Formats: sequence, structure tokens, C-alpha cells
Amino acid sequence: MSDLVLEAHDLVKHYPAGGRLGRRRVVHALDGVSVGLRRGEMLGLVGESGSGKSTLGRLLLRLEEPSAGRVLVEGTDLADLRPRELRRFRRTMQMVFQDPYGSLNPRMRVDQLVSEAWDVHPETAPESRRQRVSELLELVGLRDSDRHKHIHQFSGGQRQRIAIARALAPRPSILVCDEPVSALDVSIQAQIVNLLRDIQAEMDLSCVFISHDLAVVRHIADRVAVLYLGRIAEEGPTRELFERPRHPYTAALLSAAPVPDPTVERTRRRIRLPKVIPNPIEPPSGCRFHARCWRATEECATTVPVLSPDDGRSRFACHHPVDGGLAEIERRAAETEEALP
Amino acid sequence: MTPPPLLEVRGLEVEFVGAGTVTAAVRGLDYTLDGGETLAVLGESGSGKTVAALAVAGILESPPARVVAGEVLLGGTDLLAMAPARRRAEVQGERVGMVFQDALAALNPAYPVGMQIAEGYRLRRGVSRAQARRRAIELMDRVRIPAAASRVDDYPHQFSGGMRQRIVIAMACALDPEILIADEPTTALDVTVQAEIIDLLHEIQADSGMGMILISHDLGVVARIADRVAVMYAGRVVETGPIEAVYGHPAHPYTEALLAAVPRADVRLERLRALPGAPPSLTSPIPGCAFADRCSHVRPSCRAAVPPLAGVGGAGTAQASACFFAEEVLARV
Repeated sequence: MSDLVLEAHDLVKHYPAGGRLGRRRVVHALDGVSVGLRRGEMLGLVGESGSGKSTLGRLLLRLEEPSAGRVLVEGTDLADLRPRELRRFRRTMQMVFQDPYGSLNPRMRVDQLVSEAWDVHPETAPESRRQRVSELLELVGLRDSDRHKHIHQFSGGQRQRIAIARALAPRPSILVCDEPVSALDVSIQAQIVNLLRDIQAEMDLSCVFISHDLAVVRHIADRVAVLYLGRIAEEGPTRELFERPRHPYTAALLSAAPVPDPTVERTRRRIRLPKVIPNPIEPPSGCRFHARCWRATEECATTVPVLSPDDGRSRFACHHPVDGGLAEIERRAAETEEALP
Repeated sequence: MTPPPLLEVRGLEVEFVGAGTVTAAVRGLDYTLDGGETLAVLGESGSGKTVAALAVAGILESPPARVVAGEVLLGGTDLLAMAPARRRAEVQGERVGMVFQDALAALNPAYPVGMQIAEGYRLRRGVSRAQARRRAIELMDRVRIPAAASRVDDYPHQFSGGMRQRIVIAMACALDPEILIADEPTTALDVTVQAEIIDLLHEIQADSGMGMILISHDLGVVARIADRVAVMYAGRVVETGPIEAVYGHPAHPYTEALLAAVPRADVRLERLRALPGAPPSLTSPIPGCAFADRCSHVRPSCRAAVPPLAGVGGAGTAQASACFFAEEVLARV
């Protein structure tokens, strides 16, 4: 049996973007992404708007069809399955969204929300629904008396707990969380991050954690993939990637992430990226980051870099990777910037 | 004698009157701002940080909001006692500029950005359209919008989110205000853009010597540019002081808990220390310390009276905490 519970192979997703007849334009949301989720790990997907991280999450769950490429769950290609079989696989993969108010029906009671999956997947229904709902509520830190309430009676953090209980009801083995703590206050965010980590260990879940917040990802993920304009820039063990980034874009992201420490913040030399993130309708040639990169050469504008082989460190898609600690990379980037005419 | 602060807020109380409920959003707020300094107002949702800023800027919608008590002294004049018309003419935009989170909502999609940036300048200063246009280009240059002269007639939708926020900052600075209030100016932006906008705000504040109030929920964003910080909880300032002191040696259990709960991108923490519970309801009076229910060091006296904001760490420090046991909290680190 493979160590990978979920695999993406060369996933491509293009969306039509209007335009006149005969001149149809497409948004290149994802352009050839391969990534694997190992059993029992928490994989972080990070990137800015337009990076394709949410699209990747939806394709992994087959909430959308890829334009090209394959998704394998436990080695099975979901595209080969008949609807009935697909539904069986669906049960094993659940999702938690950013906005629980948007994903939970306000007319349903908490116990209905949590137990709804058992109507869709009767094979997962417990002997006593009532008791299992209580157990799930307790697991996510809610009271049994909360079962009769409606979603508007809860705070944002509690709603996210309900969304997690609901996702866990059909006993999934894979959980995809798309910005699950982004709308929450700092003090509540920590509760949910800790809860997700505890549940993952306790229930032996394999998780994909999508977020724009590098600090949260560093804290929760075992491995991280950094996306930029629909491609993976770098992917590797969390600690390695945060402490010794190889792709210049990873370094720039880390350099921009504010740290709640005035001494650190005031002494660091932030890497400044020129220009804005290009339009995914007309993505740049070669390396998609080349026009903003301080290390770019002609090669970067013409040749698409491929991910380096797995050597235990980060894998990166870059012709001129950086090396060393972040402070060192920041210093060298500043020197390069000063040397420019 | 020390000169009076540029802005002084004293005992500000703001309520929202709804159907059968009164929500006390700001419940006795005090802070000061000097010229040339950046004060960060930190707080979570519902802490009253935005409502307080709107009251200070004089743009609180009333009803439903109602200023119940307090003074907002700008150069010695109480803005709350001023007639609304006079306040609009002499204070808003002129002496106090404002930048909001959502730049798209602050801009009119139907007019070129240059016209919007300099509209206030043209009307207040009585200059010609050509002069106003020149001023708009100058301001766009100042907020580092590339090729300002050729983009002055473009419309808001032709700019990226970060550039739109620059336009709003240019607009707020058009009349050289003494105070700039920036309410979550980078919250909707990507992290690399956020860093640029924060650095720009700092640069403009330092160049012009104005005072800046930066309202944010993000402890990291604030750490880069704030001189002083005021931490709000349930409508009051619970701790204030120089940012190094407050972050390095918090004197209020809430500040201490916030700093322990926030993950960092530069170091791996084993486990976040989550705060239990949620902030209290503001629809009924809170007899004692509003943080008592979530505080791990709560004692009976905390529920008996509201702790006043008082200096800590001996004479000569500028740090103050609204905790009866502030000295103990300070000694814990």
C-alpha cells in the first residue's frame, strides 16, 4: 500500500474568462501541479490571491473536474469511478471552509447539521445517533446542550467547531481545511488550531490545510507547498522550508510576514518585490516569478523551471535558488537591489 | 512643563441603541497621541477599536450610535462639543484624515482617481482644476504609484488592491492633516502588498511629522511601525505603553495571553496557548474587570470593581495597565 493517501498528478485547471468570440480568454488557475498527501500528515498549502491554493483544494476533493491531470485517492483515480463508487470515496474526504456561516444551514439545529452525513452515507451511521452527536460535540469542545441550538446562537469560533464536528461525522480519513481560521480573532484562532492538531492525531486523519497565513501554517503543518500563480514554487518539510527557503518567492513571502516582535521587525531588511502579481489570464513565460525576482536571468524568462528531485530538503522550481537563513537572504537581496541602476 | 498632547481622548463612551437593547461599545476610553508618533490601537472584533476611531474622527453614524460621555481634545478644542457643520468644515479631512480597510468602497467607481484624490483640496483651497490635478499627481508620486502623471485619469477598477489603498492614502493626505487614522489598512491585502503599505504609511508619517493612529487586530503588523500601543478589550484600553515594553513585558493578563496565542512565522512554538472562552456581551453592564471570566489569575476582588488604567513598573515609565495585579503580571515574565 502506498504511503500517499491523496495524489495530484499534473493538475491543470483553466476557467473561461469571457472575451469576444474567437478570442476566448482563460484564467490559468492551476498549471501542472503535482503534490502528495502522506498518511497521517498535515500538508499546508500557502500562497497569495490567485496562487491557485483553493482551486487545488477543490480539485483534490473532486468538487470540480480538472481540465487535465489526475487525482488519486488511496491509489484509485476518481475519474474512473461510477457515481455510486465515487460517493463511497466522497465520504472519506471532508472539508472545512473559512466561513461556517456560509457553509452551515441556518435553519437546521446543531444535531441535524452534525448527523446529516449519516443520511447521505447510511453505512457510516452509528447505532445511537444521539450518543455519537454528543461524543462529537464533546470532541470539538462544545456542550451536549448545544445540540438543540441554531447556528446564529454561536460565536465564530464555536461555529467553526460545529463545522468540524459535522465534517468528522462520516468518519473521514482525509480532511481539507480551506482558510479555517482566517476569519477568527487571534485568541479564538489558537483554540481552533490546537483543536485541529489534537483531532488529527486522535483520529489519525490526513489533512490539507490551506492558508495565506504563514505563521499559522508553520505552526500546524508537517509539510508545506508554496504556490505562485498556479504552480508549486517550493515544497518540503515545514521547518526546512521556513528556516532555509530555496525559492526566492518563498523567501520574499517569509520576509513580508509580520512578526509580533518589535525588535525583530525593526531590524530586518524586508525583501521588496517590484511590480504586482501578474494576471493569471496572461501568465508570464518561463518562471512565473521571473519579472519580480532579484535573481532572475534570461533563462528564467524562457525556460520553465521544474521541481528539483527529493533529497530530504525542500524541492524547488528555480534556476537560481537561494541558500542560507532568511536574514542572510534578506541582506543579499538588499545588496542586489542597491546595485541596480 | 510638557506640552499638551496633539490629541487627547478622555472618558469616551459610545452606545448603540437597537430594538430593545443598548450595546455599550466603548465604555470609558482614554488615550493620547503626540505629533510625529504612531499609536497602534490593538483589539479583537467587538473590542470597540473602530467605533472609538469613528467617534474621534466625527463620522460615527448617529443614530444608531450615540456618544454618551467623554471629550476628544484636538489641540485643546473638544471636537465632540463642536457643531457638526463646523466640524466637517474645519476638522474632517483638514486636520484629521482617515484610511479604511476597504479601498474599493472608499472610492467612487465612476470618477477618475486623480479627481477624487484632489477633490477636497480643490474645494477647500479654492484652487483651479488644473492646480488640483497637479496636486493629485504630486500625491500619487508621494504614495509611489508608478507613472502617476499618466495614471491620474484612470478609474479605480484599473488599479490593483494595493494601488487602490495607496490612492486612498493619497486622498487622506491631500490636505496635510495633523492626524491620520488608519483603520485596518492592510487587512484585505496579500502579505507582500501589506508589507509595502505598512512601510509606506510609516514613511509618510515620518516625513510629514503627523500623528498616526493605526487600528489593527494584527500584532505583527503593528510591531513594525508603532511607537506606542493601546490594547483594547470590551470597550476599554486595558494596557498602554511603548511597544517594546508592552510586547516584551506585558502588564495585563489579556495582553500576555494574546502574545502567547499568536503563532509566529519566524520561530516554531510547541503549542499555542489558547485563551479559553470569548469576550463578554456588551449589552449588560460589566461590574468588574471585563476579562475576569477568561483570566487564569482571577481573584474575587476582580469582579467587585472596574480596575482603573494605572501606571506600572515604577515612576518614569509610560506603561499603564488596567489590572489590580499588574505588578504581579509584570513580574511573571
